[in-house]
Amino acid sequence: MAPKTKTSQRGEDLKQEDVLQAVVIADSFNIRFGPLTQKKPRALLPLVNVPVIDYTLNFLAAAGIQEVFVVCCHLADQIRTHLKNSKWSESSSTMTVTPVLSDGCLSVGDALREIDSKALIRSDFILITGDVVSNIAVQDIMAIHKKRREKDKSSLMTMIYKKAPIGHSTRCPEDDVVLAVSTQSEQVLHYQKTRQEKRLDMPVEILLDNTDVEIRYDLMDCQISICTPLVPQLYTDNFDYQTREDFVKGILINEEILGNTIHLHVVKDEYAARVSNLQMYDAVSKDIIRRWTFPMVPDQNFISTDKQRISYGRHNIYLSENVSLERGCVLEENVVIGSNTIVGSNTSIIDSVIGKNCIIGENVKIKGGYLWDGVKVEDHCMIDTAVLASGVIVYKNTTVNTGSVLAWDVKVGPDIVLPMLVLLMSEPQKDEFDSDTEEPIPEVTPVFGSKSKAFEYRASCGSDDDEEEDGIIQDTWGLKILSDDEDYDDIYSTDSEDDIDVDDGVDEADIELGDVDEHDVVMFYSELIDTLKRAKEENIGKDNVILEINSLKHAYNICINDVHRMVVKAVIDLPLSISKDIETTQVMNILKPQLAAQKSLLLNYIKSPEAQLDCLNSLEGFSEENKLVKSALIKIIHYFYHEDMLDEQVIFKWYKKEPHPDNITSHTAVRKQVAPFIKWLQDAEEESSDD
Amino acid sequence: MEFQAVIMAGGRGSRMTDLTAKCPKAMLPVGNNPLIWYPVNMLERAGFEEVIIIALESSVTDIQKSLVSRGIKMKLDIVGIPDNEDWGTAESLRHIKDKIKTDILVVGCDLISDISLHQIANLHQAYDSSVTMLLSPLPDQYTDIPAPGIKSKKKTERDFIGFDEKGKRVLFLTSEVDLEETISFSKSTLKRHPYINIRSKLTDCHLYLLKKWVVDFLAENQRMYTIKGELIPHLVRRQFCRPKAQESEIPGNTPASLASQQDTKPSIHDFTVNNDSYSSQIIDLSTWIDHDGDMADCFHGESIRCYAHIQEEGFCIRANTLSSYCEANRQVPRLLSTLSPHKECKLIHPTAVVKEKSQIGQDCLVGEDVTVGEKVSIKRSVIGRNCTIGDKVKITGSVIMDNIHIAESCNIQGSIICSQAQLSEKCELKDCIVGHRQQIIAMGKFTNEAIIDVEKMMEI
Repeated sequence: MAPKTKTSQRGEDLKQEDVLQAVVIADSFNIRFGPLTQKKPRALLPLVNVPVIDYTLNFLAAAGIQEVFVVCCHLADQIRTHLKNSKWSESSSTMTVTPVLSDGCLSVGDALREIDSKALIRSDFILITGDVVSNIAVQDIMAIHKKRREKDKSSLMTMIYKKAPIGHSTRCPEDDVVLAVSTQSEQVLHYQKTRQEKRLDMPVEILLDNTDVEIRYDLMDCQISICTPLVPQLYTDNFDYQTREDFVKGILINEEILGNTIHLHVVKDEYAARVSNLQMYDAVSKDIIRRWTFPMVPDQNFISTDKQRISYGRHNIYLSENVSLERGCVLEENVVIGSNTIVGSNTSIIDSVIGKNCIIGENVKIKGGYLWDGVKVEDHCMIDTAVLASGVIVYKNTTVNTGSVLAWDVKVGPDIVLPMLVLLMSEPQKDEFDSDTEEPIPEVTPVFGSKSKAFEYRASCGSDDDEEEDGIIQDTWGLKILSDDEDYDDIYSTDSEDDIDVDDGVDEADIELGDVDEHDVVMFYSELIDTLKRAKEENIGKDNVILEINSLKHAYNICINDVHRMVVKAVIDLPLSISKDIETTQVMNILKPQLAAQKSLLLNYIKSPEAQLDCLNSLEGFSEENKLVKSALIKIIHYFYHEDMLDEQVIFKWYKKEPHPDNITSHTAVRKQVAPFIKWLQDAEEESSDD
Repeated sequence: MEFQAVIMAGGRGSRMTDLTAKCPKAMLPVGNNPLIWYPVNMLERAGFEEVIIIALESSVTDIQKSLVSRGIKMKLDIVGIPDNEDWGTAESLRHIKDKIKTDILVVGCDLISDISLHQIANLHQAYDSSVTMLLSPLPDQYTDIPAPGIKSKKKTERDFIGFDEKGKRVLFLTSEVDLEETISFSKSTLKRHPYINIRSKLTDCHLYLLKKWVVDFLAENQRMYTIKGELIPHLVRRQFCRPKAQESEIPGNTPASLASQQDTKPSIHDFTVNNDSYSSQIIDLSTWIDHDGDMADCFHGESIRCYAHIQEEGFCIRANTLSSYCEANRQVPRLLSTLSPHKECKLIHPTAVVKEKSQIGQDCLVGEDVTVGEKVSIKRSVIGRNCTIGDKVKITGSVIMDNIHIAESCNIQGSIICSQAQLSEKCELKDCIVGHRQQIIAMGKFTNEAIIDVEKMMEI
């Protein structure tokens, strides 16, 4: 662990270098934290009741850093005041922390150019963002870096990555990166953010020039790098470098010309994560509570200006002084509660952080909630995976749903259920570009309850470059697992096609034949659905629809049997897919008018006994994939029979058909289901023959 | 062992045509043994009792004779393939598919190695691998040494092979000639195998363990020509492909797909279906898993898996090019004692006559009935049977085959002299190939030349 080696390590370093320096970029230059960062810079947002930047500074202090420059841009004064009042400005502090105010900075690049212009850097330094939580023993990596520098002057930077398997909770999807690294020298050869791409290409030279290359997708960026003093200079020389990604890519592209290299250091067992968005905020908070970040855990109370004690109990329950827990309230596990907070009776809290001076009412359920200081939650509320900033009031009987953020002083309720993923702030959003369109501020916003004071925040107003990405991240907060799975399947299926494409032609033809066929059928079906939809909307006559379907048939080269099946399926599918949440009992009520309307169309196709058989097979197949159809299968068949679209002989034939070996179970299930109808038919037939 | 062994000896030695014009590759002498003796010997040491050898029809009897005469006790089943058709290894394997009853071990006839096969067999069985291959990190000297004969531009035949974290599973395989501008990985592959270590210093030894179904698959795919060139890369790539079978199990929203699939040829995944319910049950019940970091199934449910054993120690060379053939000859004298531990192995055959003041290095082999004159110096060389070497001859790093007459004061360096050649006095040969029955005139000086059946060359 870092602090144990602290004193001895620092002594050694003193001999080698005069001072160890670090640059902390205390701004993210983006709006991932939505409305929260409008009033407070991200570095000061409380993470388990401690401002984020204090984790970063503690990490640096533990590594024996003596001089830290904190570059602040957005709301810089607040950071300066915070640093002034922190333990770092006390005389006993081992580390001097100097804020560097620069309001004009718009990127990491600008910040480093600022550092360069002020000529603050004298030796190798640590570059870190002001929102990293870590307990890596960075002094060891610094030593490796310096050793390498002695041998190889071209090494500019050592980036620290942590091994994290895919799906690791602190692995930020936004920062997902694939690296190619030389095994022997640990030199980075290729750097690529994955983003939405499905295939990752790397130049072939990296293989030709290096005998042993590792392609790594099992790493996450710790956002900590050890830089030489040249790095800020290079940022100055290349004014188009905005981010570290730009820098790394620039260096790699120009490697042959300038001869600069970047190296990688992989840590395995230590902790590092960046609070880069709400998802990470959630993940890192949980890790802190579960003590992965030791020694930076809530009960260590490492902000020494604040002398309060925090007790640590079983199941990771941390309680500060003067917490009052009323009778019957349950703190299940992983809960942190700040001082002077009151929790009402029969309230249950799990996986949550609650700040100072909060008042939680009775019968409240909080799961995965992050309540900052002075939040008031009235009785019978439910809070699930949400951030409630200071001064928020949730009136009684209100449900705050997954992924919501309530910024400063928002009031919601009473008796209301907030939608999921809603971002609220207490003032209407000001448009940055034209403030002329100001509307009078209403006193209450009835959408969010009669006593509410809440306005929805939209991220798209920001001037950020990657808004779209932003949207994706925001959307997935709290729904992470779900969206991830979809993503996976999607890629998975396209991948197999891709692989066939690049095949060497061995059995390509055979496979592709099947593929194309299937693909065409799917395309045809979707076109068919569209045609029927439009026909309904625009009242296109039956003849024209038939004409269109026939031309589609030729366009996609679909055989007539398939057309029969598809038409039947589409006619049933369409109404069912439009209306949602249908009870199984209602299926027929919805279908009947539709089938009646499309009867002439169906009759046009389903004439011959073969076509009728196709129709039945199609129904059978469709019933397997659609529960609603399955429940109503017998009624649908009956309807078709009633409308003279199906002949009883054909139905008998279909009923007796030999099952395909692949789907015997479903085959028998369907037969069983329609058995009463068949019986009724047989009876009816016998009766009629009796007559 | 539950493998059938197959030796591919039908190759023509297209990378050393100067030597193989008169003698099939399998019969080229290396350390006074025919090349094919080495893989056969390796199999015998590993305990195989039978071996199928695929050879050119014309060479079947020669091979049979020479192997038996060298004390091979295994049951040899030598299958001839037509001389006039250029069959690839895959075609040859298709030819004998009816003989294949179990998983097979395929090895080329040009592999000289002291590896013990159980290591690779263990790997094959531990991971229930579809294909297991043997790779060897060859030292540069084996390939970089100048080849005798006419200097040609050195062709690189590097393979780029990607391994997983344990360094066993092969995730990526491409040869240098197939490389394009970029190398590309699909994200879903990376998601399952986030660590890929691509190494290019490894040589494929052309020793493969193949599952029975791979042979069945090969039998159905007529267009595959070689194992190395097509089959293995295909299998490596198909590891990450989703079986098509699963798609048809998804309740058919496209009824046509069922119909169309029935008449198409079975896909590769249809071959992998394990009929042995016992072994699939073992996988189901076992808690063992081949990866960490997620909760996915063992092997991520991938039914095709390729592995490789990297031979870090010991000796391994493929005598498939001129330079590696020479190097093999230089290395083999050291190796013979380990390769045939039972036979008493003397570097200089007892029937050979070596006169006084001649020096023969410890790294040389001298065959039967050889006469060596006075003041002869032989270093790092192999001398075949019935050779006569005159006085004051110097031979360094060369291969002298059978029945060769070398007159006095010749100086031979780094050359290959094929059988029945005659060298007159004071010849100086450096990095040359002297063909079958060639005669070199007195005082002839040659460097980097191939003196073969073309008469023109002799007239010079």
